[in-house]
Amino acid sequence: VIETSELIRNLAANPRPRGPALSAGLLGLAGLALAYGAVAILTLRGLRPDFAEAWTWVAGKAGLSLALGALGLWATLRAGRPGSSLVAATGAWVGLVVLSLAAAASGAMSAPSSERLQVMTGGDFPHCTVIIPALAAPAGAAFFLWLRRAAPTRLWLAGAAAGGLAGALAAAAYALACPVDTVAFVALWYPLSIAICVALGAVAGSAFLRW
Amino acid sequence: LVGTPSASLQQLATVGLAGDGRAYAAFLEAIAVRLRAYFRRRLFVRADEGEDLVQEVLLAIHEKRATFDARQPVTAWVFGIARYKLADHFRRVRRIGVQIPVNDADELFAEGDVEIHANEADLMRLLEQLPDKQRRVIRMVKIEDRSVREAAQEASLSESDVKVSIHRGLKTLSKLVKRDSL
Repeated sequence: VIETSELIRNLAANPRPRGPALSAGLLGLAGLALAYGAVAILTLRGLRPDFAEAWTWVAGKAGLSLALGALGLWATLRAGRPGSSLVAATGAWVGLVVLSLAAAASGAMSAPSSERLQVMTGGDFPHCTVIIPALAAPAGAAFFLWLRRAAPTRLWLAGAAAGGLAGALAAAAYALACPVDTVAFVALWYPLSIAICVALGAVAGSAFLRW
Repeated sequence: LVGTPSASLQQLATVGLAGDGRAYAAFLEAIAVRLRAYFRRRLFVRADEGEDLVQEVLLAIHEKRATFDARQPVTAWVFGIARYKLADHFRRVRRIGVQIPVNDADELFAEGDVEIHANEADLMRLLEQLPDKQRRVIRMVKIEDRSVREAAQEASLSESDVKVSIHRGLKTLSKLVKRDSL
């Protein structure tokens, strides 16, 4: 049995934390995740052929995704620090999703009723609800590794934040290939696809983030 | 004698984690004192478990020291880690039904504000110099180890009155000890 005072003496021999700052590490990982997502989507699906005419739509989709991603980054960073509240980050994220869904609803309502289903679904199953979570999985795993080096104390919440971050970056990359250009589609299915990643992250978090 | 208010705990953590081993050791010592008192007061651990838990939390603080942000209150940071480790401990020993208060950082750091190390005879002598009310509640809570509620009932005071009296009394005592040792 080691005395507490002796333990403290031993610990105090290395006061300075080792390795790069945690926040810089997460920022670097997020950059890598975005680059990986873009490369993966361009390899698997290719850039949309009409990119030159439709680039403003791509920018809008990526912008919405990156805004949610920035909030996800903030939340993940705070989730890794004991004693940091996630209320503001969660509130901002939910607020943005609600705004987006409201925009989708208004977009759908402004279309004639015969075309309403068409503008909401793009005339097909919304593939992004599958592609975005699949694309996000490796990045999510990387963010989980970062969280394990940090100190999450509410595991499912930390997992949800990391899932939301990975999902948002995957959505931003998917915008390069996504062919559907209606507000009713984008403002509905992008946040929902990211929300699926949040839910999967929450479940995985309580299983894999223990330390 | 150690009289470390929370403000300087923040400093000790900040300076210590920037590479000052002595400040870091003082920080860990102060945390150990508070954890020990907290675990005892909260009564959710047996005496022999207590010191193990103190060490476990100190180790966790050290392992995760990179997550400290000097702009955030160190008290909330320490309590977050302590609470997580405590919950982890109870899950491992499969003790069910132990409730750890969600936001007990104040409790962890409040009464530990003033800690006095002096020998008992000196303390008893100095205690005589305190006003009657302060002396009585300090004797009941700090020496006879009774709860604040019991002390409040016996002295016909409110619980917050007891806490304030203890706090003031300990501050005075701490000054007296300091003057005495000069």
